Amino acid sequence: MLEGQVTIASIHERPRAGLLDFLTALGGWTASLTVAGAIGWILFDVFAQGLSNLDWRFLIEPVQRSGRAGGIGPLIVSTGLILLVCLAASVPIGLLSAILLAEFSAQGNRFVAWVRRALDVLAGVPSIVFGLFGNALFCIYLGMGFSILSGGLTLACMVLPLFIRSAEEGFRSVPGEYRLAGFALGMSRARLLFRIQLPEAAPGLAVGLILSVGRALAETAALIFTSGYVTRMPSSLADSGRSLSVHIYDLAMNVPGGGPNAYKTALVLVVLLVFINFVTTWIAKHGLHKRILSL
Amino acid sequence: MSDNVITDINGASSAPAENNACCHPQHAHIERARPSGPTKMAVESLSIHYGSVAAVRDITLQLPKGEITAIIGPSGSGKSSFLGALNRMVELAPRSRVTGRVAMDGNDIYAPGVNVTALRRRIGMIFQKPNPFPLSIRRNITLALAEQGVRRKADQERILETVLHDVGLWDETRDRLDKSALELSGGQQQRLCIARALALNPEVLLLDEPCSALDPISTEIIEELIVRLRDQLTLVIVTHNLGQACRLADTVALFWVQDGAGRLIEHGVCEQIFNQPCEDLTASYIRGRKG
Repeated sequence: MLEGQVTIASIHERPRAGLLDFLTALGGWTASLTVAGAIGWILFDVFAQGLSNLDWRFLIEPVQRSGRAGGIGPLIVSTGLILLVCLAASVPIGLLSAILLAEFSAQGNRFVAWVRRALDVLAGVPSIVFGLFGNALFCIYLGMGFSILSGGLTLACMVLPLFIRSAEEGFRSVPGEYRLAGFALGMSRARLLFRIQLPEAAPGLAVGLILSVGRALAETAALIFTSGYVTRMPSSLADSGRSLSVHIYDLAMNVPGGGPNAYKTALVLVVLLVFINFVTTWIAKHGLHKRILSL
Repeated sequence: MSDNVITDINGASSAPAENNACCHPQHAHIERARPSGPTKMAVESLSIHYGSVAAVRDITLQLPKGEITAIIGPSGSGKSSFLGALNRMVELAPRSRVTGRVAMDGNDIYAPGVNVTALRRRIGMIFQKPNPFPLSIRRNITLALAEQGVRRKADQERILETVLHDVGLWDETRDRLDKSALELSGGQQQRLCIARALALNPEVLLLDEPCSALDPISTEIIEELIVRLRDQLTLVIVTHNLGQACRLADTVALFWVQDGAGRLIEHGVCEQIFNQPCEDLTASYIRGRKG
């Protein structure tokens, strides 16, 4: 009899709880599938349209007829150079800042809290603002003109907040015990940093690097004002050069009949991003593995 | 009563002490047990603050050379802070401030110009939780060695083998020296940490509850190791385990929180502290743990 009552009570309770669970699950799945679907759709579109009559000469030929014909050879070179300048400037500065932030934040430093807040604000600044800033500072004030150097440095300013914050997280994820152990053994900060903390933070740093590279490669607004959109093969960092994403934007918006080549360029850009992602992750993992076995 | 006791202890710290038989509660001569050997480290009126909070206040204590000193007392009585003051690790804590004097072989280790990294190689430290580096077993030992100037591979290998023998790890690890140290068991990791400290040939070894994260068998192995090390080193061990203090220590110091800071209540040879404590606090602490 008592059992029966319990069962009746639970029957009354169940449907509501079950409905709530169901709705929660439904909401979760819908949201995830929407996101995955959108990405899948974009990728499918890019691959389907880009792969049709794509051949390897597209990757090396110069741009012809404003991009309607020819290839994107010079643009790949320009993009690579802009990225190199960006990383050459942002990685050392970013790493040092992240180390300082991680090291001093452990001590509850007031200045560090302000730096961190400033970085968070900067990370949210629209890229076109960075473009105008870079144009004013690098192109005009420092006299670099429209050049790959100006563009790369502007991108560096733009990705630094992102890179510093994720690199800082990487360093903070290294257990503090290693630091204590190192100091207790009379190790110098430098050795502790290079032999233990840096390798241990490597996966986190790789994530920061991938995010930064992704953002830099995707950037158009900041580059139009700084590296310009000349499609020639650059002969030095002082030359203007068009990046792949600027090219996509130009073909899609300004060049009638540029659609097919815009898709092909987008495909190249996506593959490049995936490739960089893969290589960076592999290096971080491989480096870690090797370090454990070294000596 | 307890306030009086504190004054007595402080007053007595400069008084001459001729014996350990101070077991009279009213007696002002509560000077610590006189070290049987020469003093390796001498602590005088040591206070440690974190910001405005005092962790320990006015500790005066001698660590006899080649002996094991156990520091006991309830949590929060400043035992670990005290230990950290002995190799200046406490300075890594935010807003820490150390006053008083800590001398090793008569030299003030807080004097300006003291090379802190060199000091920490002479005074090793073992932590509560084993903390080997995420490197190979071999590299755990040789990393700090290289920095100390031992760069020849043959020398490193010799020291590696010696210290692993010392901690009884050699037979267990000789075939996998290049495997990650994180694959070892907790007890093995702690022994590796001790080996790592021994490789630098320290004069003093500070152990901060070295067995509290270990199982009884590992604990026993580490305890045997500590006893063996007594011949080569001066050891200080913080422990919550009174049995362990009793088994290992030559002298025992009891810390207690009074007026919001850790104080040294009593310091004496092991038998006296456990069998005839001078202080009521010591007696009740020991008794409490026994019962």
